[in-house]
Amino acid sequence: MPMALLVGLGLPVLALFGLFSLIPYDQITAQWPMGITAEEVHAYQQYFDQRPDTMAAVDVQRFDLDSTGDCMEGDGAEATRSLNAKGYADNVLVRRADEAWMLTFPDGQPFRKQHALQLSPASMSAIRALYAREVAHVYGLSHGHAELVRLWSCGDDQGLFLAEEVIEQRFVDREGSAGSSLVDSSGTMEGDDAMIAEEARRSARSLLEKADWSRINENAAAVWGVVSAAAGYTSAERGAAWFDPATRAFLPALGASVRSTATMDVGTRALAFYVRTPEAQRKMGALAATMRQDSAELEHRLAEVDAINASAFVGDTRIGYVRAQLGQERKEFLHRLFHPDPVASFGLAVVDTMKKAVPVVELDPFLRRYLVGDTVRIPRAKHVIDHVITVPAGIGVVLEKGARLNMAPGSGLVVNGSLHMRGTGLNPVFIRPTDDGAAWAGICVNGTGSTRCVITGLKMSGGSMLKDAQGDHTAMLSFHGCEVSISSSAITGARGPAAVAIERGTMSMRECYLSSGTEGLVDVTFAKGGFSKCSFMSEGAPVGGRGKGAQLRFDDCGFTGFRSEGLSLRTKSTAVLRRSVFSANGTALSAMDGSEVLLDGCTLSGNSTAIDLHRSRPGQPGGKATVYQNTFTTNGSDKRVDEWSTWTAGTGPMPEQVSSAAGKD
Amino acid sequence: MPEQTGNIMDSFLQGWKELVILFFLLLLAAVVLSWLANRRLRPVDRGPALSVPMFISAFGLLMLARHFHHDRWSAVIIAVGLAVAGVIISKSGTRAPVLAMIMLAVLLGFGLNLSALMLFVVAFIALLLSRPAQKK
Repeated sequence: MPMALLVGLGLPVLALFGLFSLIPYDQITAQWPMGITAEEVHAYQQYFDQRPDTMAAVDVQRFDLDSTGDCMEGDGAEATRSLNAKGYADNVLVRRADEAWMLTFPDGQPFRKQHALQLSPASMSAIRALYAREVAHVYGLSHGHAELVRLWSCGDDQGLFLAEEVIEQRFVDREGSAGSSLVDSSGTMEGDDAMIAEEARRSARSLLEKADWSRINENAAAVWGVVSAAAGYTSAERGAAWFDPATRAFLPALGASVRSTATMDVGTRALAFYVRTPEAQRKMGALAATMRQDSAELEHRLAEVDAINASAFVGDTRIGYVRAQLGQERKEFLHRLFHPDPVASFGLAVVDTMKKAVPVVELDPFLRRYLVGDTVRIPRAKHVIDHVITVPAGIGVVLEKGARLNMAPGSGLVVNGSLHMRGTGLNPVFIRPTDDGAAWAGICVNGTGSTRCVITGLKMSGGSMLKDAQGDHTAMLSFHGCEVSISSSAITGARGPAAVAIERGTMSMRECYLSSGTEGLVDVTFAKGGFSKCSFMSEGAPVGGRGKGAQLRFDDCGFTGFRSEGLSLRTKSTAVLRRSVFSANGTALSAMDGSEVLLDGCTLSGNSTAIDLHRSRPGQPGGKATVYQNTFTTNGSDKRVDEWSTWTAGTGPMPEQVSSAAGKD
Repeated sequence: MPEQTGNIMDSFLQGWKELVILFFLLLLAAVVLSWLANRRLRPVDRGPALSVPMFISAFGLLMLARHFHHDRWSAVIIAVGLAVAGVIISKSGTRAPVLAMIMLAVLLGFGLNLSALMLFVVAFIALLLSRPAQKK
């Protein structure tokens, strides 16, 4: 019996040594029959593979977490610890979550531009995360950085980890356009953020309830879907989508996302819904077909990823085996990439794509009277408007020269198409209140992004604002998604948040006079604005112009007497000012939260503060000013610059390419 | 409570096709190993072609092992397997390869198919080469 046992054990062991030492690695790493798993084969290989090794030099980025006290062995522990990595040395906030480590870097000291990292123990399948980012990079999908690192804590080697950049607001601030935000569903944001969050929620509702695909970047979502299906990710694990207020759409990104609660943020919910729709899955199929055409290029890129990272996986095992395993991973990843099965990966949403019949809206009698073809032409005469008139989509409005609209309190005009006002110097278009003591609502235009609005010779006063189902209009004359041109007009006495406002689109204003109001005169939000030879006079209004995520240019303009700010820029706005005059304002020019201002040939005189650069709250960047040949006289203070902001004195006149290159012309 | 019971039953029956295959694999292994153990014995000394208590215990452990995927439970299952094998051997005094079958079942249950194959080969060779034991 002992001999039988010895032989019984010896023969299979010899066979195993032969099998694992002689068979080529690519066959060992291939699919085995009889349901034998790769993990089990890998365990056998470690013991029975006795072929000579050709070990590559192991070169893995090392993260050293030192601690004077707690080494954070338990789940949920949180402490500030010193991190040394790739020349980085600073205290970081470290948190444990199961096997993962979360590192949060200080605001002013990101680690190679990354503000937060999630470190998860890395097995061979971690290479998929690197493949996914490589493919995302090729197809233009925003993604967080990822790399393999070896983590040391309190002098102990914790093993190989996959360090993934966490998609959070600071990542979005870096990658997204002005005002882009990750919006949660809690509704705890304030100020501008609250406005953007509300718009994001409205867009998400439109996507989820009305299948309005324009509310998500479909191409980016398709790339995210295909890549995530190949890598085996779900939207909750590696999906995030920020809201871009300029396009009113969600923009997906690939990367680790960490949520404090089980609820997904608004963007991720929109993304999770979209990838389950037949529309998205059709797009993913088309994208996979394109990827198949690029297969040689993709395979080459992923092979490079393998070559760079293979040595990181070499522990007790052999480099040849590691390479073969990576080759197998790559093959499987590419197969899933080229032949995605989004239904299996994400499920299938039932979407009611049947467009509901647009209810027939009876045209307002006032409009019916002046309807000519598809245009309402309001002729030269006095017209009393005593209610809010809504012009349906597809119908333009023209106010002919000499037209006079007398607006009763609370009345207004909502135009869902183009708006033209054709006043002249001799025969302006008048829009006035019927009762000087009570404000009328406003005139607002809902455009599609390129809806034309041309206004000349307008004299307007006494309005406030108009609430609308498609989004509040916060000015007496307000435009959403329009290309607006206003010239030779006088707009005064607004009783709402602003006299003129534009959100998304472009506005060109020339030779206009704006004055008196309860708050501001002009609001430009996530839009471009060009102002030439315009006068902004306070006469009671505290603020002249306000830009949020705006690109502005002012030539030969004047801002006078604003007790708060002549021009206020926030949320990564930029403004180029030439030959403009700021006088007797509280603060002539204020730039904050990543906003930038360039001045040349301007005169700033008699202001309490000429230029104020600061940040509004922690976590935001400060302002930036580049000042060329300007005149500063009799200001209380020429500049106030906080530690987060930068002031640059340009030499000579502003080079034309400075403003042109930034697209500010 | 009935819902919980239902969930447990569902998890046991999940992948029932695979379970059927494992059942027949285990049956085949039991028959082969029992035949090897009974080989070269006098007809009067031979045990049954298949020890039913051994096979039922082994298959029960296989199902248990398939259901629990945690290190601690794995250790408990292995311990239970050894205890069961000891009880069967001591109570019945059978010649059937109880220990090998129990280990085979546990390995199959854990999804370690290559290890199960190796164990079968080892048991096969050992039983093939062993001389018949004297019946007490």
